[in-house]
Amino acid sequence: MNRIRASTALLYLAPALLLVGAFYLYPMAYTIPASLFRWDRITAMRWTGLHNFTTLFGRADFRAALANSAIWIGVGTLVHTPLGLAIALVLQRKPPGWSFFRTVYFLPNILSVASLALLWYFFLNPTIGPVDGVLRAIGLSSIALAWLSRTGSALVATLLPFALYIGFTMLIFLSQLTAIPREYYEAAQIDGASNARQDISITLPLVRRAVVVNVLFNASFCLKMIEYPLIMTSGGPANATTILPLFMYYQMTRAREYGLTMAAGLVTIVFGSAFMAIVFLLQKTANRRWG
Amino acid sequence: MIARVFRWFVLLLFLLVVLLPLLWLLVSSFLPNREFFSRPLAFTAVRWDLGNYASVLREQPMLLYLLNSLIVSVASTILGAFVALPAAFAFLFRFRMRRLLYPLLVFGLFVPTSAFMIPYFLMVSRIGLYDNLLGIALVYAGVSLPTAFLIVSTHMREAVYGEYLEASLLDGASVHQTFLHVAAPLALPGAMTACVFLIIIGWNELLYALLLSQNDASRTVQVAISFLVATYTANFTEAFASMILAVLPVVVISLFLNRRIASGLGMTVGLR
Repeated sequence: MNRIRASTALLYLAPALLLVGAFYLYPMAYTIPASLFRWDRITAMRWTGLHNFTTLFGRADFRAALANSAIWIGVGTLVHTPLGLAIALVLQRKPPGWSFFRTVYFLPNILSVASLALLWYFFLNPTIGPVDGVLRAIGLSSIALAWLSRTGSALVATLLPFALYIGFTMLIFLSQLTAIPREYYEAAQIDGASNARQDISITLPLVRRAVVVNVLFNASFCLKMIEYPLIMTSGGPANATTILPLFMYYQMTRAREYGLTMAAGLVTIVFGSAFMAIVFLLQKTANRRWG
Repeated sequence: MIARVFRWFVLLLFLLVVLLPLLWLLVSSFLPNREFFSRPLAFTAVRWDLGNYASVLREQPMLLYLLNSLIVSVASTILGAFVALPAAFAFLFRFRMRRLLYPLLVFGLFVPTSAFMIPYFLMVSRIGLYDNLLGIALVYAGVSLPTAFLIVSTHMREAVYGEYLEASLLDGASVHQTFLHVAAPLALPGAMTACVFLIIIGWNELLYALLLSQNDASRTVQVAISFLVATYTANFTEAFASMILAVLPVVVISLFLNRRIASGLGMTVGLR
């Protein structure tokens, strides 16, 4: 590889470093001290030490947001990602029409989450939504009850579209699946291994990099996204569907608790980093096992 | 045999799950509100009446919102591409601090940026771009820079061979000339892929548009969509028409560039 002087390289990197500095490093450096103040942007900032953090963990709505975010990441890891892999495995064998299926499955992932959230808000609506309409029509009115306004079902209802729209995850799996040499499968076939057997023994170990990428992408989506709970339920009923980004959004815009919002931001980052660390540890273990 | 039946069952079930809500939305958006209420299943009354679309465009500043979204997504994309391209070029070479700077540019991919909503808001207000489309575009370009850089960088490494650079430098071209006349043209397809992603990301984003805009003049279509639950308490089918208008542009883009998106994705995350 050719070599250039560091000063020349920095010239080309300067704009990018400026943006990363402004939108990642500076906010991080700002958030840490700012989370130790009480501040509403109108009256002066007041030093409160770790008070914001004790307040956060003492509040039921924050604990609900934290727990629900954990559930979102759990669904992203244990439902969404395996579903994406399953669909990718089916499409990888190129059944008739596979490229049509691929296009349709990916379609929701290019639509805005805001419009999808609104769509499902209407779709699950008890008066105009077809879901409850159909349930009533076939005589199951006992379960056709306002999914989004009951504590028991609201969280599942806000999670449902995310769990089902697996297009992005599927595409990432597909791109690694197509890189696996055909000969592996041919050899296994000669040895008499079934399709399922091949998927478990050959494919799974070889796509674990894609598994890690997907799990991390999905977790980071869950920790950034506000649309589904914001639009479908506003975090209700009784905090049943609130998540960390939505908690921060309401603390900033409604309660004007700036210090508290940034403390919640730090907790979000620590939470996300801890999850990533666990995933990397698991990956290391897997690498040792499969080489 | 059972396995094959099961596979088809799964494929068709998923097709239904994905298409049914979207088709319901599309079909309902053509119905007059009263008719929609009398047949909530909508599929029994397919017709192509553009009345809802006409009244949304007439009574709401929908065209302004669409234009705002276009400006924000295009501006952020141009800025992002122009920053990512030279950065990706630098990494075609060896230089001191290379191993430190690469992770610095991509670690943002996994940072939950929702934690930074207050710093972003304060920064944009400080430079006087609150309630301004450029403020929103700037935040988009900054936040999605790791994505843009990763896409351009991966494609550039595939398209620009070391030999090309070597030959160009040996022929006496400067590093800058090599960038402008050799690397940048070769990296154009990768940059275009990045642009498609950035435009879609910018068009779809809600949180920062919500935080950084106040008036119609800087309201993007996603923000308008997010207010629909409150504003259309009764006229549902007009809300549906607005939603269709809000997603139509990206659907058109993706129909044309479907293959590019599909192939760009895997390469981007280094899986191929």
